Amino acid sequence: MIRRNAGWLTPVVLAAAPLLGMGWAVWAGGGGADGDFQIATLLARLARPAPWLSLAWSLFAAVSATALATVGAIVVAIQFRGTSFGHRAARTLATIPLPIPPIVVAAAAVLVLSQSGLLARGLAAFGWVSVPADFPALLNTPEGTGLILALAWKELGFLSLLACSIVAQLDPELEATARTLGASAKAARRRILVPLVWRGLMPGVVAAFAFVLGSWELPALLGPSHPQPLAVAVLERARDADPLARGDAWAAVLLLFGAAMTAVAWHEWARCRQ
Amino acid sequence: MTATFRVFLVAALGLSVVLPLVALILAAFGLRWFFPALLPEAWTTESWQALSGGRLLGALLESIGLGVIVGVVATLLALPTGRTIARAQGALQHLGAAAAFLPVAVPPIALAAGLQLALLRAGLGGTRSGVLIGHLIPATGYLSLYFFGIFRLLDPEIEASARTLGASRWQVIRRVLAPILARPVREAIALGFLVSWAQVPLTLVLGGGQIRTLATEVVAYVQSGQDRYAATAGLLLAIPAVLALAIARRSADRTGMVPG
Repeated sequence: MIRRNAGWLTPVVLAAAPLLGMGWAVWAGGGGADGDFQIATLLARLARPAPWLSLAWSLFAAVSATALATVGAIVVAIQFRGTSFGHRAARTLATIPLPIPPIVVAAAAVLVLSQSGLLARGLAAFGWVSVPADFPALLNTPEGTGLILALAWKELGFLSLLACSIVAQLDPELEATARTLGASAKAARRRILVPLVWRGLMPGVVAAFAFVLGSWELPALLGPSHPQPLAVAVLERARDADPLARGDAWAAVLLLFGAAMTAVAWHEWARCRQ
Repeated sequence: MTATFRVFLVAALGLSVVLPLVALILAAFGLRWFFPALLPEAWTTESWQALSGGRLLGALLESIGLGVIVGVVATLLALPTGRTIARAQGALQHLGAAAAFLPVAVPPIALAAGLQLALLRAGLGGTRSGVLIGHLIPATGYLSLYFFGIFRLLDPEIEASARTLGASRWQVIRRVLAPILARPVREAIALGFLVSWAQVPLTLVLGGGQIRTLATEVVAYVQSGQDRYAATAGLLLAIPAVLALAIARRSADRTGMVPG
């Protein structure tokens, strides 16, 4: 009996580790780390606006980056589904960001997108930029343009790999039948291919969204200092001398755990629909 | 129109890959690279010479050591887990898959902040063992989902047939499962290695600044404006990751889950 159930030990431990972490966060967030746990302390910390502002900004960045990467992945998968060298090269180029560690993407983004980066230098070579200030600030701004672009590029690798694999498994007769019934090539793509790819891609999109929302490396180096992205707020505020700020750190941890739980439930729901 | 659009797409994809790579190479080898110059005034291998000793070499060895241990241990834990989840039915399978996905979905910084107190109380704060435990949690989650995908495609009747024909449990493992699983196990070790190799927040928080890996060094170098060292460490981090692209591609085809 024990032997038969031994395989369940690891999933139980795997689920227990984050749940234990969340338990510690609740305890510390309620003042337990200072020796005086109270629900009122926890609720007061969760009611402060700073962590919610960070969550709202992180959601904006995560939704924008995931939407960009999803559209890009679907376009790549549908436009380059052939076997020619060009199509295979395009698919490979789209998947290259997949294994690159996020911290390397962040370091490269600083070198490319900053006001004295490679892009600005390239434009300066054409005479379009003369001093760094002529190039728009893309990094560490409240709009998060550079961060969103870097996150979207990183996720494009994962999502385009999945999208290409989904398109490869689709029955080509579906599109041919739609064309026979009078649909234009564009209509067949929009009405047949895109919905099918989207349905298959959904769990991957949720996983990518969860990754982006909780990502630390890219927001830490490319994100704004105000409002602080949620994951960055955890570390920055935990190191703050102000006890109120340290309380915000635990509230931010709990919000991240809440977002992760939602993502898990969403991911399983999306997987069930397939 | 479509042909022009495709050419534009290929050019954009190519630029998005080439520009970061060129920027990292120029920064890693460039000396006196002032705006608006496209190329540095001089070249140097100074940051690469640091690999013969000192901080960068120590971080590289730390990353390799942690990655290898995490890859092997997470594979050993995840293989039976993935098999058990794949063989389960209905709600139990969903629960198992959700349990494996949870440590993958939980942001490492939240996991680290939550686990830090527990590890400090266990006397593992700021130690290599603490960091190892931290890395193992998401790595085992990823690989459990990976083996779940592998075993879902593997007909359970293969094992049953071998048992019916008189094979012992050990013979089934050695003669039937081992040859089938040899390649997935190699791939899993590589994927587990990559999860640890790229990890920053868990190392920073659980290592308490005592454990320095190549990935945490990139953060330190970028934040202190040492672009040459950041680019050198970044290139070193990217090389094995890009070499593993083919492995990751095969893994994603099988399971739909790969490290972000």
